[in-house]
Amino acid sequence: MPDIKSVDLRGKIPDAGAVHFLRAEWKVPQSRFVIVRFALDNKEQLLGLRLDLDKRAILDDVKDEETSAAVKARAEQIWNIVISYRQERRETYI
Amino acid sequence: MALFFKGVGVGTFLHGNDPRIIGIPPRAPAILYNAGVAMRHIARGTTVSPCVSLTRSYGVAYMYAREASLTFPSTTTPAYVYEVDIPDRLPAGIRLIDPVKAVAATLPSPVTSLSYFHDGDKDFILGVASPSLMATHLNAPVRQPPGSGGAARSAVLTLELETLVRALRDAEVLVVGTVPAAFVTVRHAIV
Repeated sequence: MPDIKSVDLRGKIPDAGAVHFLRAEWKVPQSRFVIVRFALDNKEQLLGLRLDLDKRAILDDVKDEETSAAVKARAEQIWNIVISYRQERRETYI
Repeated sequence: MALFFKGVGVGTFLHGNDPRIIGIPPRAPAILYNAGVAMRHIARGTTVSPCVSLTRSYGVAYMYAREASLTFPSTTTPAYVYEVDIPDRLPAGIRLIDPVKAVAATLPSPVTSLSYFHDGDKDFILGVASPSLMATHLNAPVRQPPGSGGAARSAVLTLELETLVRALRDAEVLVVGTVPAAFVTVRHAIV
């Protein structure tokens, strides 16, 4: 199994309520999905959030409707960071 | 009968609720199905939907299970691919939708000014099929006849074309309603 690749999100994405974004992770090179790791009330959660890179959308909910909406509104920013990271390392086809 | 597959990532609702016992329910069964709902389900980030996605491709389901998890699959906590055997005659209360046919039925005549056709290069479709890996094709400026002028822009992409390409890419069908547990026959562990 490939190693985990990650890109740091700390300080790059504004918090969404009590949600603090930590990093995006993936194992499969060129994977369509990455896992967005986050802390809720300063505690890192065991389960992350799925970011669908093709849809530029976070698919999962956190806490309540308001927090979920704020989290999903950060998808584009996280997408930009992940794609820039991959393009720099030539992990996209073009 | 036809065999379909469902990829289930670690940490998702179906990972903790075995589809062989509860079936595969949609997230929002009360929403009324129409072609617009199908298009947003397939091409957008909409998760609140009366539809359940299945695929004819084990490979697509495998990718989905392996990559679309909330934490990485492991030997102790694997992701799953379920085999779903759909009979020719469906029970009352569920419908099987071929999204390509459903979208095609909504398309206007080719001579209407707003159509599903793109106006980009032939590689534009590659960008639609894989927008995160082949963004260059998606965002390439359109070519115009010499001297025609106009604003610089990328090719026209409608929700209809995006849906058609993604549905074909993922060999995707939609079930409106809950897939009965009796249809879910086999489970494969994916690490």
